[in-house]
Amino acid sequence: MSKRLFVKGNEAAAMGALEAGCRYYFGYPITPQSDIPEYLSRELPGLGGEFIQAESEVASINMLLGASACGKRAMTSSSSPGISLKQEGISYMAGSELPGVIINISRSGPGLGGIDASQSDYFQSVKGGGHGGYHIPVLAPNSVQEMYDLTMHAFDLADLYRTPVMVLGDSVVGQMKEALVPNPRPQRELPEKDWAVRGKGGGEQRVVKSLFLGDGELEAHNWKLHAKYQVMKEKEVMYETYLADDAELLVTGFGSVSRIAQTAIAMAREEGLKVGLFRPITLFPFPEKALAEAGIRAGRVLVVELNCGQMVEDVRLAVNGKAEVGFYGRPPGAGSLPSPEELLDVIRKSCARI
Amino acid sequence: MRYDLMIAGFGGQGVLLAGNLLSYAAIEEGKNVSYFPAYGVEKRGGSATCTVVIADGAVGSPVVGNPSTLVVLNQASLERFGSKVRPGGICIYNSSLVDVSGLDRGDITLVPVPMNEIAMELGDSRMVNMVAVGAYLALVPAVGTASVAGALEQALPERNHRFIPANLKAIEAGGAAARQKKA
Amino acid sequence: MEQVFKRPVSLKDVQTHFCPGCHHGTIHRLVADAMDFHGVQQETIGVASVGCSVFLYGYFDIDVVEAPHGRASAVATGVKRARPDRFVFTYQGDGDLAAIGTAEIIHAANRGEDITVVFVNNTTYGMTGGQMAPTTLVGQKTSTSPYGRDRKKDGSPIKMAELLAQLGGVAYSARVAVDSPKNLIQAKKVMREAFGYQAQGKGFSFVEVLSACPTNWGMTPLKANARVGEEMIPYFQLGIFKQEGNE
Ligand SMILES: Cc1ncc(C[n+]2csc(CCOP(=O)(O)OP(=O)(O)O)c2C)c(N)n1
Ligand code: SF4
Repeated sequence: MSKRLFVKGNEAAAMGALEAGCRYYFGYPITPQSDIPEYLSRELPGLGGEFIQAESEVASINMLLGASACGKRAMTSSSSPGISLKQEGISYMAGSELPGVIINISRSGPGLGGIDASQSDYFQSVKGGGHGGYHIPVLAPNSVQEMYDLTMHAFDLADLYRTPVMVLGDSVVGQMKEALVPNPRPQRELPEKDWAVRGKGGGEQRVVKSLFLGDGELEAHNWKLHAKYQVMKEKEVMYETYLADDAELLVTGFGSVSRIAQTAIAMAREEGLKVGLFRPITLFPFPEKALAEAGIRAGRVLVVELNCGQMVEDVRLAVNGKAEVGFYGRPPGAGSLPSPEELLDVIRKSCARI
Repeated sequence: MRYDLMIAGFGGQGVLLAGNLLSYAAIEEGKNVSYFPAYGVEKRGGSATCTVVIADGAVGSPVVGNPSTLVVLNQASLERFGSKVRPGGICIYNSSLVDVSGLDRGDITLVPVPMNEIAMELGDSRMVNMVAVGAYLALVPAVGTASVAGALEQALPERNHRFIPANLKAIEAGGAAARQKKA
Repeated sequence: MEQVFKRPVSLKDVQTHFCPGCHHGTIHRLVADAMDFHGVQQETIGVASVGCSVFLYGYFDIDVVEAPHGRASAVATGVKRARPDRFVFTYQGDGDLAAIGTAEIIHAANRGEDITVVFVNNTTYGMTGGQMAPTTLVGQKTSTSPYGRDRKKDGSPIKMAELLAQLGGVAYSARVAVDSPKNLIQAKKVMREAFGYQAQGKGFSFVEVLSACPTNWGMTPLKANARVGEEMIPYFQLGIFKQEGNE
């Protein structure tokens, strides 16, 4: 086992990217994710990589597009307002089937909002934040270890499916420090990048693009992308459960809030309340089957989010009326993180109504 | 076991370093730990707060609403967090700067430690945070004092390693003061 | 430093949130003084940018629109076109104006929008904690140029006042500093002049102000103030680069 380090979530993500072989970073400063570019600006030059602080998020996502078109593992990171600016580029990357990793250490909005932890970017992340009806895999770490592991995983998913992949966190997972075991990159068989531009050199012409004007071409392209999303739904779903088997109330939440919920659930169990946790790790593909099963078994689902209600819509679709779905939301703002004690209260009330 | 702790003071009192130090010690002991600094636009000046959870098993929530132990280094922090200590919990306060007469909490143990005076006696007013760490460890066995000694090397930047012996003295003095107050 | 002027009426009587030794506060005074001088406080609409000056509505007693990061000149364009009878200025940092907002400032200037732009150059991103800015000096260490700005990879510090002076729509472009009483007096004069261009409907006016950021430079206020003269002014020369109708 490697030595346990003690690092910030943001640094862990940057370390995971390096371990995954990423040598190209393009970004623009924004709180609360600037530790990522700061870390990489120190490390990448020594590794023969490129670090560019671009003039904007628009430029940085397009630098990523360019490096990725050359077949390189590349990434960018930002926070909500900056991610909004990247959406055009993400749409082009999805359309051009380009891999790439985008980390969103999200903050509160809309607009300039604030820098506090928030999960208000759920819709933007999982429903295709830019134009044109695409999806990208979205991974939601809830610990420093997962910031590392899931960032590494994101690079593999990106290459496997030729798609941008988003890691979605907030200032809790980004700013907290925990133990990190910097595991070596898992060995995975990945397709060859035989589409990457390289200068013909006497070979076939290669073109990276998202414009399809021929008769039926764009339709076929959209069906192809759609089919890819179906495969992801079959193969790439990730989730975690905690005391869910005999639960009569299933709490569900992703990322930072799931950690708070876990402690609230442990407290509730001490009071004899049969409560469990279901935590989606992939937000796209959403673990709809597993969640439906566990939710219907429990009969009641309580969705907790740091927003006014977004993932709850996907939970409702998943259980499709076969379990009662309640919602507890905390819109973002300074000092608005719920404590385990507050969530325990909500759990108690939900249980009292059973 | 799961220990949760909130340390609060003003910027410059070394609150975050104290939290880091305890965390490194927990890592050294093979325990799980989360360290969560309060975060805001106004990082400059003003207050500094962090939450540390040390556990044998899962840490769970890095966010703590009602800490079982609160260490406060200044008055403003007592006013903000004093009411939040879990019933039956402990509040260690820096009696050099903090007056608890306005705090109506018969249900918690209040432990005064004159942190500034102790630090001054040791000849370095910057040691207030180390006195606080010592006081905490004397009352709550979250980590062993020996691991803290080892952790100082990691928590302090290299250029400050020459202060490690002084830090250890401050931790000891803080511990002695707290034990005496509690007895 | 001696007090060069009293609190202008356009400025609220409140404490600012700026760090000790930050020049933003002084520059706020200069802007307020210029508004007072032209008697336009009641008809002014300010456009705040995203940076340490984002709270300017807290200090200026005027109407304010908050723009997205970098977009203040575009927002100001919209405001001015919708209310040509109003006095409109933006107040932008170097990250805001010279990085993410480069397209907006160049085109607002080139169109000759009848607005005044106050540009605060402190060679770093203040609010986000001291990253490299387009104006960071070569060799200067910041949190994202830990080995110093490298001309080959990061480019040279952009001289906005000179660059904009070349555009047809620009009526007035100058650079000032507030690090000494002498420079401060000149800065006050220039700021009044720039606002005067708008008051007379003469077109786009631009004032770049060199500013200290002791916090992110890792310096005491005194040292930071000294750096403006020792390191910044030799590269970012003070002067009026364009003054239409006065050539
Ligand atoms: C789209 C977007 N990207 C990034 C940010 C983060 N951000 C806030 S202020 C700022 C720059 C501040 O620097 P500067 O403009 O030089 O002003 P200063 O704070 O130094 O006065 C940045 C990058 C943001 N708010 N929105
Ligand atoms: S960080 Fe720099 S620019 Fe911002 S208020 Fe402080 S000194 Fe001024």
